[in-house]
Amino acid sequence: MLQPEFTEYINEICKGIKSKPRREEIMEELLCHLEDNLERNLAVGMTEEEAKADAIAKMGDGKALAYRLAAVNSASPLKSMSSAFFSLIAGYVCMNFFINGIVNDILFGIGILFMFSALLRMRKMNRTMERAFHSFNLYVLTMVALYCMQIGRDLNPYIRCGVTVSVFVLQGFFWIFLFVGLDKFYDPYLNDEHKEPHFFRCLLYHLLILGLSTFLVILSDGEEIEGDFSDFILPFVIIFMFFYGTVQLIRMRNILWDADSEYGILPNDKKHCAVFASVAAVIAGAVLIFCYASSTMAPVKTELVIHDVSENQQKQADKIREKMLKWNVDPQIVEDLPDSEILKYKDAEFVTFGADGGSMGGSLFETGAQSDLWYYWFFIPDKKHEGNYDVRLLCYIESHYADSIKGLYRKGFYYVPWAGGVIPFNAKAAEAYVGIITEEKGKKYTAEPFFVCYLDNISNYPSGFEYREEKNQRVYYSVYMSIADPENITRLYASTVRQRTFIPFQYYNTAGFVKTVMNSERITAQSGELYPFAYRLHPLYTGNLDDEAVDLTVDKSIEYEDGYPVSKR
Amino acid sequence: MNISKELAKGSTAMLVLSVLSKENLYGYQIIRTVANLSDDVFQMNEGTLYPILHSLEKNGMLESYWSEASETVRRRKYYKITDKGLKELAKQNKEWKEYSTAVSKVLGGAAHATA
Repeated sequence: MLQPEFTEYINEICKGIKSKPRREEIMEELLCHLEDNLERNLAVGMTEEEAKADAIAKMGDGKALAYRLAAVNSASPLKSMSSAFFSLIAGYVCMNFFINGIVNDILFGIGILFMFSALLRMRKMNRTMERAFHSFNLYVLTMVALYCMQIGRDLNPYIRCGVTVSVFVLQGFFWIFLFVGLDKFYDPYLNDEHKEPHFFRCLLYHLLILGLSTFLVILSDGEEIEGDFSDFILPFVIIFMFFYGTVQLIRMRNILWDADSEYGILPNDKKHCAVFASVAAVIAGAVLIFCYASSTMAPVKTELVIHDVSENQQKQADKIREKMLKWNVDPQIVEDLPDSEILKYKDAEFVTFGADGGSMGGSLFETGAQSDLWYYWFFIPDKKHEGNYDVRLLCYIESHYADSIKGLYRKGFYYVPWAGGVIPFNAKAAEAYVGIITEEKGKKYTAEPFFVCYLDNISNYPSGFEYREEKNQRVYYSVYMSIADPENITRLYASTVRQRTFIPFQYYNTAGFVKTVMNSERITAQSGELYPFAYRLHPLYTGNLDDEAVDLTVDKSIEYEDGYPVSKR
Repeated sequence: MNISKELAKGSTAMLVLSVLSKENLYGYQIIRTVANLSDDVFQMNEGTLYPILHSLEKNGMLESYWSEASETVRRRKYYKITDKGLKELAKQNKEWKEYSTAVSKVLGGAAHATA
């Protein structure tokens, strides 16, 4: 028969056990014990009341018992946080896993949800984690706001720069709060206040997860790491976690080496394994930093990947190809150019491949040139302009492999008009590599840079001329070139390389340039050399010539009207 | 005789493992068996047994199972020692023997040794 006193007592001492099935099981077990004691007491002659009271008294201090039962039968706080931590890492990888197309945006959204849910649980750890949670929310909201502000319009560069700075700063604060909050959470477990036999394993698990996630991000986009993640966040994360993990391991050394420690995590015979694992984690962090640093400092090689494209992209390409045909230019199969459009300037039409490409995190600035996309650059020439402008490049594509190339894979990179936004763009020099396609369709190409030229806003630079036009706050770069036989353009490429530094906002991309190869002649030069090349004005484009250009052969036979060359056709 | 708490504290788990190494028992039986075998020297707070049992089970030294209930007998949760528990018991047994021998030598001195 159920004794209400027993039920009340057991409810009280088991209420700290969170898991309902476990709690009910323990309550049944304790009830059995109390009833066994009751029977025994009754058998030795106690009254029922005395027997019940004695049975309960024999259980000892109820509060202490309740506390111990809760402690033993609850999930380890570290283990529950481990799952939240894993969710955080998974979310972060999803946010930064660059895949071309809409999948990228979906993954990004999923990543945010993962991180949000992880931080929702982790924020209870301490106040610093609470701040990390709020920083993350503000960071995401600001990023979304910036993205929305840029839809269908040109945002004032000052506003864009300002909001972008806020995004970076908020993200930085998030990481700082996160790591400091974790450190505060782990701190008691480094002392003897809590006996957590699996603590070291949990810590190592975290370090390995972070290392693994970093590798995954690196691998997800081939050889290059792109966008703001690689330029700013990744090194920050790697370095911080490396030092954070190292600091934690150093702090643990006393426990690791103390044979008398009651911590219980490391029986003496397993110490060598723990030390080995610690050293391995530290080395892994060092390797990651080295890999990243060396990839940053190495010259960037661009790649061309040929792949099939979707129907919509094909339609876009058809439209642009029609234009090409009208211009008497060998039509290209232009694919995968979501931001391409046909613009008009005076009587000429141009196809532009400007882009706001890349993931949300990276497309905060107006981008200019495209890497991995081999095409010409044509720029609308006009008066020179000095000021704060974005750069949008106009180009079309010509390739000698028109029949075989089905599509062009675009990897965006980011031009940061931070300097252009605040400092006149003409204060920056740009640099570009040029590569050559040497292999068949379907294979990955590695472009070998064989020409570098310097662009500058001053007309007397060796690679050509540069003129800019202010149009709706866009700067159009123009490079004069002329092609003797437009119908037989052989190869003309432009590519760009991104220079990165660890200092935010000081990296810049090239504005691109154009170089003419006449009659398949291959021109080689060492990086940094100035290469003079012959050129003539292209009949489609207009501009002013600077007769003081150095090392340039100018075709004086072209006639001009109102400063614009007259088409020869 | 009441043994001081400090002395009893460290050995409770070992005693529990020891009685369970001989047969599977449920909580109340463990208390009674330890008391009987020690001639009532060890009369542990009955409540403290269960956190110890749960902790040993969590660490893999014990396994538990519920017996079948019948009309007259309620079901009970029995504990059974595992191989890991047996190893731990052997280790603690060895440590205890070394400890108790050393204490006896210090306390008894030459007279104890020759008695």
